[in-house]
Amino acid sequence: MLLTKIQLMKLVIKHLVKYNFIFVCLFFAFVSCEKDLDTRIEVSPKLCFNCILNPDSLIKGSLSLSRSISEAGAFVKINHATVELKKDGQFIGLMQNTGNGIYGLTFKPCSGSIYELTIKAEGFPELHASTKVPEKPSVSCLLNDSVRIYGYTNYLTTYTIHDRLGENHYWQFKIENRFGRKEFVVYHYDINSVIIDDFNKVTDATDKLGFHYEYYLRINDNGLDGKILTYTDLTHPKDCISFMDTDVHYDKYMKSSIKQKVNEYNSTFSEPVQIYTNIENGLGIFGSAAITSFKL
Amino acid sequence: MRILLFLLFLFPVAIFVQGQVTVSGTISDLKSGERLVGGSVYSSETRLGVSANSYGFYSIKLPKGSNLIQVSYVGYQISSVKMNLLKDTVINFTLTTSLNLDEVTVKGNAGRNSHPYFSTLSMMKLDMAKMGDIPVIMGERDLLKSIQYLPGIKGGAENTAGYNVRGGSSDQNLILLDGVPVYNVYHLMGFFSVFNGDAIKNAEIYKGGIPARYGGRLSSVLDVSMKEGNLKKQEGSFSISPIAGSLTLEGPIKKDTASYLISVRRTFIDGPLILAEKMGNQPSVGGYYFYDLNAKANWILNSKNRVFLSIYSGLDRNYYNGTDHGLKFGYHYQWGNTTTVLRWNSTINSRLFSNTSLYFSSFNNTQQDKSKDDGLVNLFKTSSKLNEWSFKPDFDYYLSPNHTLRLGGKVSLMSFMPNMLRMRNDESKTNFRQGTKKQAFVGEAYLEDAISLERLNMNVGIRTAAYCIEGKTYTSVEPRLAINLAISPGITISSGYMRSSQVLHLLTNSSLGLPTDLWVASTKNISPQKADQFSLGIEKRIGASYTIGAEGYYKRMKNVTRFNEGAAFLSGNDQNWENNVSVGEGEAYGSEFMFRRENARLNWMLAYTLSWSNQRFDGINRGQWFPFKYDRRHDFSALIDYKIRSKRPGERKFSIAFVFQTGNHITINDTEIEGGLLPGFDKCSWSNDKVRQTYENPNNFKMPSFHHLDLNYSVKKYRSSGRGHEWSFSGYNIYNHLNPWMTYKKDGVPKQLSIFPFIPSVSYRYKW
Repeated sequence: MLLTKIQLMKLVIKHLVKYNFIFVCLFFAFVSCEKDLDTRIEVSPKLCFNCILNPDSLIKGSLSLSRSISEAGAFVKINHATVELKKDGQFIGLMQNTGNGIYGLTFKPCSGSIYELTIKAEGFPELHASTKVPEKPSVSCLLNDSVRIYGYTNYLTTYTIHDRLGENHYWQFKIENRFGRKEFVVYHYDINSVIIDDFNKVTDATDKLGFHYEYYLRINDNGLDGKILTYTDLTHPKDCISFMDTDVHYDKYMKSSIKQKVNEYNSTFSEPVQIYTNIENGLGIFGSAAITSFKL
Repeated sequence: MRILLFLLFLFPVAIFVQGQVTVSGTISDLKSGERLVGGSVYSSETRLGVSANSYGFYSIKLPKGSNLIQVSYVGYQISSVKMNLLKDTVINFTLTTSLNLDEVTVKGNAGRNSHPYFSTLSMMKLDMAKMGDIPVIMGERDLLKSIQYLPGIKGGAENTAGYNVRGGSSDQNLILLDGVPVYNVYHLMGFFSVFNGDAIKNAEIYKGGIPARYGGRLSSVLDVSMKEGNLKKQEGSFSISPIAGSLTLEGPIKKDTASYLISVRRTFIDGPLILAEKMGNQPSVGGYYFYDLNAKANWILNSKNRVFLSIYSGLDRNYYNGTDHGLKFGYHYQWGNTTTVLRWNSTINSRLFSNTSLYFSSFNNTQQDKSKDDGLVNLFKTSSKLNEWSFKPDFDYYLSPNHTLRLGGKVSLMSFMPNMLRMRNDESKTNFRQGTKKQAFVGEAYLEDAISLERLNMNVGIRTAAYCIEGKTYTSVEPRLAINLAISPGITISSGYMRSSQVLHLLTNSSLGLPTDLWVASTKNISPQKADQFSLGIEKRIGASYTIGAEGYYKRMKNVTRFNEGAAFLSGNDQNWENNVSVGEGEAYGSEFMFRRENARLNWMLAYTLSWSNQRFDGINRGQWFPFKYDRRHDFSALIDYKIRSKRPGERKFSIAFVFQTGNHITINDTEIEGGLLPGFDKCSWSNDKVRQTYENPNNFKMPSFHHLDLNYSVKKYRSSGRGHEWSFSGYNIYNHLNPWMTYKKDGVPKQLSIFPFIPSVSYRYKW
């Protein structure tokens, strides 16, 4: 495939930056030697539980074992654990194992309630976690001018979030299904707004704004508690736009997961990222999210 | 009766005071006129002595009448003068270098402690002459690498000049060049320091009980003084090593009145590389170089006043330019310092000396990608700048033979521009700049008293500082104390306490182990760092040659900074660095041991440090303690030199150096967990990205220990006129142990890169 001039410029510059330090190191070495680093670190397997409470869905979680990074294959699933749930301090039931490490409870969580988790499994310490289920975000949108891009009509859309008082953690993501192909998550947002968190901002000289956001938009309500949060984005009529409000734990988990993903492809010198967990004595995430979705 | 008793007490005091005179003056080298820092002035009648200050000035109270005054300095013949003192007298001593070093130094050191207020493990004066004998890589003498053989001072990555003192990070070390802070002291990512050994006169390092006259850093002070320039005759030296060449010229502008010194050092390895690329008709040319320029001039206005002007400029530049299918591109990454200082020394009276400085210090770090095709420009540029303008008066007041007061202050205006971004893309019509400039005002004052009693010597002081930025003011009060108690002849117990604060932070990348850094300053959201350090030690001197000592320390640090997880250096992704750092605390403790023999034909220094250093941040590792990156448990070094032949004209010396250090810590993912699909991805049938990689705690992996054995053989042939040359033959890493210098991933597998196998080198130096 022939490269455009811009793509060629970008490719050359990217290689210059990426290999700059390696070039200097090798430049001075009489003989430089590379060898595998024995990074085997003794890690004891821990229980890893993933469960996101959503007021629109029944409660479901998965329980498995963590493993050393040098291991491969499928994760070991745990099917013999006791998973107990409480709502606002009251016991509501045991999550039932349905096989393959999956546990479920025929119960839809309620917004505003606090859920506490306790997991007991033989040979492992007891796990504890809690989460507070948020309300669905109150969002409206307004279609403005249409814009033709690559022969398709898009709309400049103004999104308005009516922020609730208190701590909120808003996220936006978009599913595309424009061309009759399978759906895929939009991973590139060209938006310039002060309310968008820069944690997943990537600088790119070929972008119209010089940067873009990857995978998701995280919207800050810092200093705007209880007020209106507004920004504009290009949207295709076949896109499904979703706004999510999460609890503080799922918010941190999302940030750490996305940050790791972004750095993997964009930054040679980024700090490593520890995936967030709120599970005491374990790993994984016990969080909650409430989603508002719509199509234009 | 009471009046009578009062008069009885007062009368002998009055007699004593009335019977004293002040002798003051300077101590300098006879041949060059260079002032000798820390020279000793001693009176055998009173058994009292003082040391000359940083500018070679001394002042001592002696009884009227006949006095024998002895002046000594390491490497020089003792000078004695017997005088009948009747009034305040000025005596300027000029000393001659000793042809027989052993004879002089035995006499010079016997019975007196050259550092009365500090133990050798807390404060050390570095012997610049010996620095050339330490085997170093590629034959390049380096001050900062030399100090890494001292206990409690540990290097960063292998062969880098960056160092950590008593568990602190490298930004916690104050490095002064003629009283001016230098912010980035490394060339070639830390392989070499900015200090040209040919231009340095004196260097002292403090690790504990740091005197109140120093401030702004938590862990140590390295005070480096440049030569002033030969006041008597023209001199020069030229040296060359496999990596760089250096030329130093000095001499009188007006004999005995004014002098100059210019010293230049530059690498030349880029020359052959560029030549080879051009001869090979390569479409692109790349290279690297660094240079240092030291220039100094001084003028003796009269017997009491002298002015100095010093300039330093240094730069590292890595570049790559060329064309590709009609596209012109250029890349460079450069960093460097510039310092300028105007100083005025004034002897106000026989007991009061002042040094007033006006200085500017700047550090600049820039990375730029630029390309051009058919007139379309694509530009990406990030930069970081730090500037400081300061006015600093200092006074030394020799109150009495037992009390030397130092007082002074500093006012500074600092400006910070970390992570500036400039982008332009004509194709996509992008053109913007980002970044903020902040200014801060700093005011400092100190008072210090060096107290000498018969067996007890103390340095007591207090320092205050105020730092104003963005409408917020931070203040600190920093008491300092260093005590030396001679419990018996040759045995001293030392103790120290210091509180310090630091408004600057150095953010370093902790992932790959590359020495990249970003200087930032405290803001209204990020408070200055603070530390308290206690130390306790014991030292025994056996004769004039042997010293054995041990010292323990405990340091607690607050408001230390660290990049947040996922923060990316030099990416330009987030211009507000405050969003990318966490603030926490640190703790360091350990013990240092030293056994040294000097002033003999066979000399050695054995140093061992056992230490721990940990950090804690609220937003990292769930707020739990984890090891500091440079938490190295064991650090052992040995320096041995043997004078095969010590008499001129052909001195020959053989040196051995050995270093062993436990590896530093890096963060690598050690655990895989099954994670849920992120929102939206669960609707996409093609996506199955459920695996997450994480780690137990930051700095979870300890790199393999590194060690190397180095040898050096030097031959010096100098005439009494000073003209001559020296050859130095070095072998670095004699047994070819592949120490890790950098870690990275290749195809998902962690790798270590070692770039210093066995390296022989030859260097040459010619003096005239």
